[in-house]
Amino acid sequence: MQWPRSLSLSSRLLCALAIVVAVQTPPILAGQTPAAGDAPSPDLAARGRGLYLSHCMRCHGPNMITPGTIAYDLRKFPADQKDRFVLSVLNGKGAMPAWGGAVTGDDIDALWAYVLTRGK
Amino acid sequence: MKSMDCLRNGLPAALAAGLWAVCAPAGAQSTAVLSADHTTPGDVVTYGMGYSQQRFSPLKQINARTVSRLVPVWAMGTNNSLGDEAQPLVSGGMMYYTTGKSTYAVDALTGRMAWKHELEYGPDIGRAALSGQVNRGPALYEGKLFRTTLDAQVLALDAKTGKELWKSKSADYKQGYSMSVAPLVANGVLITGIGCGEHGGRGYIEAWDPETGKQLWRKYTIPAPGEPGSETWPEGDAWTRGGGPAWLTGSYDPALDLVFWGVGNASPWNAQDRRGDNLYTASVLAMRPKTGEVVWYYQFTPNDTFDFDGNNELVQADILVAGKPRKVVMQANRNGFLYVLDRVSGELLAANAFTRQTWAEGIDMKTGRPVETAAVKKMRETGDWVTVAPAAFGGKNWNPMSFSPATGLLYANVLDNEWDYRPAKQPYEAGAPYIAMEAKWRFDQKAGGALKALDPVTGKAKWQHPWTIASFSGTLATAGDLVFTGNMTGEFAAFHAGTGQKLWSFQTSSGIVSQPITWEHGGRQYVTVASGIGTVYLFFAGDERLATVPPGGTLWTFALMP
Repeated sequence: MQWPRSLSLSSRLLCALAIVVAVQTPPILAGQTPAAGDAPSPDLAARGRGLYLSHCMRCHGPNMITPGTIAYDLRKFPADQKDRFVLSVLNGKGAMPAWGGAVTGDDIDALWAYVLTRGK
Repeated sequence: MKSMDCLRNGLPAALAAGLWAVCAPAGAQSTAVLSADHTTPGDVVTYGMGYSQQRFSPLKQINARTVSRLVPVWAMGTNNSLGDEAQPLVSGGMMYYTTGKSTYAVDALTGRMAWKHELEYGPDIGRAALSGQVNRGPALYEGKLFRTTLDAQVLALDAKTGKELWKSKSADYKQGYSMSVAPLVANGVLITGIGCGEHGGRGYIEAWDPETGKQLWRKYTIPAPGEPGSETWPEGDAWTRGGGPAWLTGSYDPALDLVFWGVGNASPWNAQDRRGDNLYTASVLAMRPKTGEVVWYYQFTPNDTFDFDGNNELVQADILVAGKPRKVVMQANRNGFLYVLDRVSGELLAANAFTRQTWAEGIDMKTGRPVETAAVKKMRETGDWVTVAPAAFGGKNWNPMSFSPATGLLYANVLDNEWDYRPAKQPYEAGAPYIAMEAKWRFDQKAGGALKALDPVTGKAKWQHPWTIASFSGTLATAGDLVFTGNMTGEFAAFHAGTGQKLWSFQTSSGIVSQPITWEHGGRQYVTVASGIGTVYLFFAGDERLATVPPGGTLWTFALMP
């Protein structure tokens, strides 16, 4: 597997973890990984943007614009790794809090659709 | 007796160093010691380097002539990449320092760690800590170190060993409550304030028995129905989630026995559903430390709709106002006005803009109320977009200013920013961010901020040093005609207090968003500052120029090269 060049070592480990964890796929993950390059639904992305503004922007920046040093630069999130995104949202990673229990699967779908817009 | 007094008779430096801790008397950090902190540069035992929070030192070995020989003497990593904002304390040979999760005791002369204490948090802790997972410093009193925690607890440690003595829960962090405040010990009472302003909480200031951790009193910043001030809230339950956080340390006047504590923004930010002045949000409370009784209050921003916290530091000084000596307390408010209040009575003496602001015509000195611009009034009536400065970052954020009695000037890192704003509807959900507005942030990256030497009464700058990227660092003024501060890209610098000329700088390991201090031992003056980028600006502003500033905390200590 070709690792994207932008991923750090810790990100690679998380990717590996995501693959391992996906063996026991929670319902929220099942069957929801789109093929890379699939265009997100505009309506879903709009709802995701609303969630992003209230929950995510405070760390990840306006329109996902961030220096990307402490908070992850979501514009770079690999489009073919939704499972990894879902796990990071549910369980937290590094400074990012775990949002499990506070967001629904639909919420995460909407956020993912917004992430795929890259804030544009 | 201060811990340093026994060393001032010509002891060799090495011997003196070894004896420093031994000389510290039992009962170090007594009320008398805390009250005298601003006059005893051998230690730093209060937030603000004195109860008045002037952050001014009488030390002058490092001065405009000698500062070119200032070099680092030690550095210690803080194992923290989430922002180092704390003010260290120095007592009995030890330096005490906190991050969001760690407490450190470090040999002040060598930088070697003596003990550490680590906190454990749940994986969801970051939800409540909107301003970042940071801590702003410890407090010391009679051999105990006190700190607050991100999960809204207050903790007492043995200052010699780091052993946990007691831990008291203040609130449920899962409901959006969090603590980063450096505690204040005033008249033997340990005082803390809560953070909750972006989660629809109800703010408060509370007091604890330093010996046992027993809660002594809690003063809600928003009155319940029937209590004085409740008439400034609408019918219904808006007051139960009305904000009024108290997340920065108050100053204390021992002679008046008054604590001055700032109260933050009303919640949600959009004021449409909470008509009225909304006391005591965006205010200062003058309180009795033993009881929490409010002796006077002043509200900076009635019916705040722009996140104009009144939390910023409240610096005391005795200055001339209109030719008369006055005991004042001063705040450079988030709303862009520099307020000077009589600290005995609460009378408003001056309120002038210290940075670009476009939300108010000015402050009516008869009523003490801001006169909002026509554009802001229209936004309130119609819900239309309005462009105002400052944005929620404020004309000045939390990072504390200093005051020099020698120059009569305040030294503050001032911000210049604006946003497009309009109210929005958002249902309240317990524990979730509760803002209810839409914004287009416009942080002018060409004129983001400056270090300013401000006349307290006029708000005008005697000099200013513009920053390429706005600084969120505190400042330190000294009798050596110097002002120390840092910036986002990690430069730690000394300026001439009278002219603003930059005299010295050193590139530290990360960005500086903390609070420099100075102290002396064995005839040598030291300056300490933490470097470790963070703050709401880093996360919120989307300033990609900071991509090349590495996160990670380091505590740096400097002295003159022999």
